[in-house]
Amino acid sequence: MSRCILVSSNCQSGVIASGLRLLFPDSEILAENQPGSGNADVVRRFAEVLRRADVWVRYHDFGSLIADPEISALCAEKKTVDIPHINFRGFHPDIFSARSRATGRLITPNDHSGILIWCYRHQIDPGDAAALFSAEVFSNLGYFSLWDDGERWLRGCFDWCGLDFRRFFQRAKRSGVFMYTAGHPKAHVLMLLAKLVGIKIGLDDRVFDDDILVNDSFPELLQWPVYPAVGEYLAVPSSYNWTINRRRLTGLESFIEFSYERFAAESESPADLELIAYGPWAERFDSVLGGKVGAGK
Amino acid sequence: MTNPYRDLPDHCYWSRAVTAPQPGQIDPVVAGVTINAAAKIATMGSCFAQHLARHVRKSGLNYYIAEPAPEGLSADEAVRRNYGTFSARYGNVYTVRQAVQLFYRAFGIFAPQDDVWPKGSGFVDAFRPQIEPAEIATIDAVRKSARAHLACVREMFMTADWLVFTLGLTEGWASRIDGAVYPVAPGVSGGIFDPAKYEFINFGVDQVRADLEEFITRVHQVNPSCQILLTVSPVPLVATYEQRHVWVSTTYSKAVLRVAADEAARHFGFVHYFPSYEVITSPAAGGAYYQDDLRQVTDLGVGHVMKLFAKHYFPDRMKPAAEQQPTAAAPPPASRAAGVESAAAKAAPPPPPEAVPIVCDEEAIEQALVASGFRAVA
Repeated sequence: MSRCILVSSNCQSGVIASGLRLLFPDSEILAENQPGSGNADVVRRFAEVLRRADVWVRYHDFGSLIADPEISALCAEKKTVDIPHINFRGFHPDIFSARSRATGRLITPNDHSGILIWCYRHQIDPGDAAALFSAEVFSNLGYFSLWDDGERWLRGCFDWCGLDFRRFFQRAKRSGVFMYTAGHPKAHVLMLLAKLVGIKIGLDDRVFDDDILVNDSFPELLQWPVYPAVGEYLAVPSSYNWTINRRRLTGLESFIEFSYERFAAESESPADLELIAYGPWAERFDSVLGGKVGAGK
Repeated sequence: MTNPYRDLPDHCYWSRAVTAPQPGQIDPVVAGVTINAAAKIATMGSCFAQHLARHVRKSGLNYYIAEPAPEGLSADEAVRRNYGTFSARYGNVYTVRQAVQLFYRAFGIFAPQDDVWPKGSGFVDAFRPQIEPAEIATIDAVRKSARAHLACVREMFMTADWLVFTLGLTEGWASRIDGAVYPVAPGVSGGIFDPAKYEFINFGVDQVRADLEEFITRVHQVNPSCQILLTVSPVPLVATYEQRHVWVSTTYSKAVLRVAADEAARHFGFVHYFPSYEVITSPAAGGAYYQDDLRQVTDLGVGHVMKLFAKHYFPDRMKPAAEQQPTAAAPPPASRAAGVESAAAKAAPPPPPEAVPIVCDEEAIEQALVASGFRAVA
């Protein structure tokens, strides 16, 4: 082994590392979840792995981690490449997380419909909830602007990392629906990121156009559909069919039933269910959906 | 020196107008006119014209059916007999020469000699050989039906507020007797191919340009207030009779039609161009707007075209169709009362737009070949 490359990020680390293994067959490629600074034991274990690496490919929000003196010292010896998390809500603007206020625990699985979280909290009949999945509601919620917002945010991340966003995003965009969910890019997209990393650490620039496939088991776990009104807007295939933990949910009604069951099972009451979101989404749902079904807050 | 490209609107720059927009949001329309809700909108042209017709109906606009189904005809039967599929039952009008001759025939300027073809045990109208599901028993009955039809066509040209004409092909077949141009080759959907009687024509740009100018001028003479919206069909040729690759012929054909449409729109103030061809063939679509046969347009592609059509030409009708009140069907034109098939014509209830199939005479070429042993895919 000529060198060791450590990839540390979130759940995307594994596929990026797989991509780098194909690009650097003579190197040892390691993948780790990148910890924050909160748990000293976890940071120590991470430091042991980092010690082995010649190149550290790291999630760009590493500020608190390198505040740790040991990590900081290790950092100084290594070549580093910063990468973003590929989060993009353009195709799946309705994905949010929820938790129980009482227990603080996330409702599983982690991804839920924001509209249904609000509907369950307000005890909206499933039939009435289904009627809220319309182009008009999506538009009023601002869902159609999340593509531009997401693109702008990603561009900022790539720029910060010194990676060629335009090259990455234009190639991803022309591949169609390039995300499984808002937080899970398809493997070929992570391969694009791996190629950009590879170019940064010495590969010929032309590798970007090589047709290299990487395996990905994520679609068995979760595939969130592009809703029909969103699909019509973006001119991409759409449906109301979900894959969740290898289970296929066909039709919006099935999904609403599934979601309400999850919310009931993992929260103490409708009022206990809490939307997790950056920004004033709770207020926006109240305003748009409340006006639509007359439920208010 | 000032750069003349500085300060142009975004749609003039590829990076801003094509590279940057979200998928599905490429918008090459720079229209300055709108269609009001009451305007009678007629459509004609190639198969792709039917997508526009369908959308006009779905949008609750006044889709002009100048040749409604006879009273008492069931909705299913009306569909089978292509009532409501076109503004009048002319079938597909692929070439501009066909359109000119349709006008001439409607106004008695041209009476083609070879107008009825034998088919099976009966006969078909050579200018719309697939308009009826079955052959007609006698030549006289075919001609009687054609006369009634042409009266409706005449009415349509004289009273439409908008005529949407989708240019489809430059290749066609003509009678050597009087130059009558047919929608499909004799022998495909009736008739007997005889090289002594029929010839292949691939219209050149000067011919198409002149034909289009003639057509527009003629329509304007009988209906000065009619606005004409030209489009070019993005559907490639199903087959070429030129001794070259079908894609090369397709490119030629579309280029000629596109040039003619552009020049007409530049020349006549009441003629407009709608870029459905550009939307479907755009590199931004990455081929996704074509079905797996790489010829037929996908619903996604049609949806994109129609979204732009609605956005620019009837912006006040942008609400989803389900939220709109359907408008009353257009009354039959006054002269329709003189029609032969039904003296007091009353339109059969229009079928749901989705139920109306797209009728494509051109595909009869391949169907006829398949019936005789041709395999489309090796």
